[in-house]
Amino acid sequence: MNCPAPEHLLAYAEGAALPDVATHVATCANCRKQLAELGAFETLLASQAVAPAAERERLRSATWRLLQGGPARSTAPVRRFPVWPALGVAALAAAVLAALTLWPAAHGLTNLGVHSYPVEGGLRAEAGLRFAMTLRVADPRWVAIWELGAGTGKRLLPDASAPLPTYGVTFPLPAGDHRIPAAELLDFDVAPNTAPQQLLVIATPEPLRADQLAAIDALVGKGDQAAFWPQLSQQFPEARLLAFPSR
Amino acid sequence: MSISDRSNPPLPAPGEETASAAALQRDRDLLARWRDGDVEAGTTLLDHYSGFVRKVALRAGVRAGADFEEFWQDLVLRLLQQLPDLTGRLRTSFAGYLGWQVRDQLRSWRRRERRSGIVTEHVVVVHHDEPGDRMAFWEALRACAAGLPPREQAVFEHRFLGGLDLTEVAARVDSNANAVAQAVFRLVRRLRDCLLTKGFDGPGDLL
Repeated sequence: MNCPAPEHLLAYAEGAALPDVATHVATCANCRKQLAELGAFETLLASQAVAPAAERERLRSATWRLLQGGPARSTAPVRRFPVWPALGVAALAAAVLAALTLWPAAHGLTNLGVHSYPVEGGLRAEAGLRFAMTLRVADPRWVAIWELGAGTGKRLLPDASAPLPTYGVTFPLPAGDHRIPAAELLDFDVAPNTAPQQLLVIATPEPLRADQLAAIDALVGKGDQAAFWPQLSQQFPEARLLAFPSR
Repeated sequence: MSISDRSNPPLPAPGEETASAAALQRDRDLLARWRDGDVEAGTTLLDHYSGFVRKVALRAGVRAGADFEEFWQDLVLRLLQQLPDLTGRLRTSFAGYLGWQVRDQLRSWRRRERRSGIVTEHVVVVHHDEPGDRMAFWEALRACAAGLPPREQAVFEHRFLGGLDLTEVAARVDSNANAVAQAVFRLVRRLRDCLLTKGFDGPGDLL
């Protein structure tokens, strides 16, 4: 029996998708023993470090808040966008801030912007682009977002199927400037060559009900702006259409 | 091709496999409950390993305090996104998977620091802030690691405590990833055998 190279067995141990290694491990007692010894040692080692009590409690509280779907950070400074060194801008050539709105700004929702950037690699390397939005609200607001393409429309937020349906954002947003999603790690993914053409943002003083969300989903699902916009803009004064920045 | 010394691998000490298997099952159970919506289970699981993540991150140069708390929160968010598929990716232990995520996140963090012009020397720093009985474990581990061949010592420090991935470790010990991986499996067995002789034979209970 030819066992995999140690490098591949270790990668498999760490969670890499290696079907050939998985097939081999299922039938090789020695490889399974190697993995079991590694796992036991890792668990033993990781169990023997304890953070100072006060810090541990802060970490636990932060974990609890995050798992509850709360804000990403409560006491640490809110991280906005990455700081791009001047010479690093070239490496992030597709990062364009588009503060373009198609309709006059109303009182409640202003300063809409989209920040998109290429994915650098790592575990989410399959995504072509990522993006986040910025906006300002004058009063507490709930926000829902849809991405619109040629003949398509899909709701981004809230997304009941996502681990964090509101992408780390706590609603209602208090008055002020905000970033959606709440942290860079949660930014929306865009598969290569499928960037949306526009984003539909609707801000409301009360959360949209499930039936309202479903109705809007159906209305924008075909991506026909001429058909849905008059009705939506009349029903929701703080609805905005935002052009997605082109690369 | 075989991995490490396969001739007559030693039998596990009585209870050794049971304790390890129990810990892995505990973590799997907590993970399953967390995936099914039990926030307390997820919090308990992550709380158990927060100390180790802190130890590795601080050794890698992440500053204690607010910087590490931000690092921790980014890690939790990363795990949250992977939660639906996490159980299927657990091959050896949750601690091992967590270690991989920490190493990957540290790599991104180092890249960001370099872009910002911040250069952090990789310094192996020992933090003596563990409670009494755990201090005994770290002393025992240090003694066992000192008995390893020099290269295996370096591999152990860099990979398990320094937050470096295989490629980074290979660069530091002037070797290749495959040889480093082989050293990992070998030193794990040696360290566990040594720790067993010093009375450390279990993964520890959740606090």
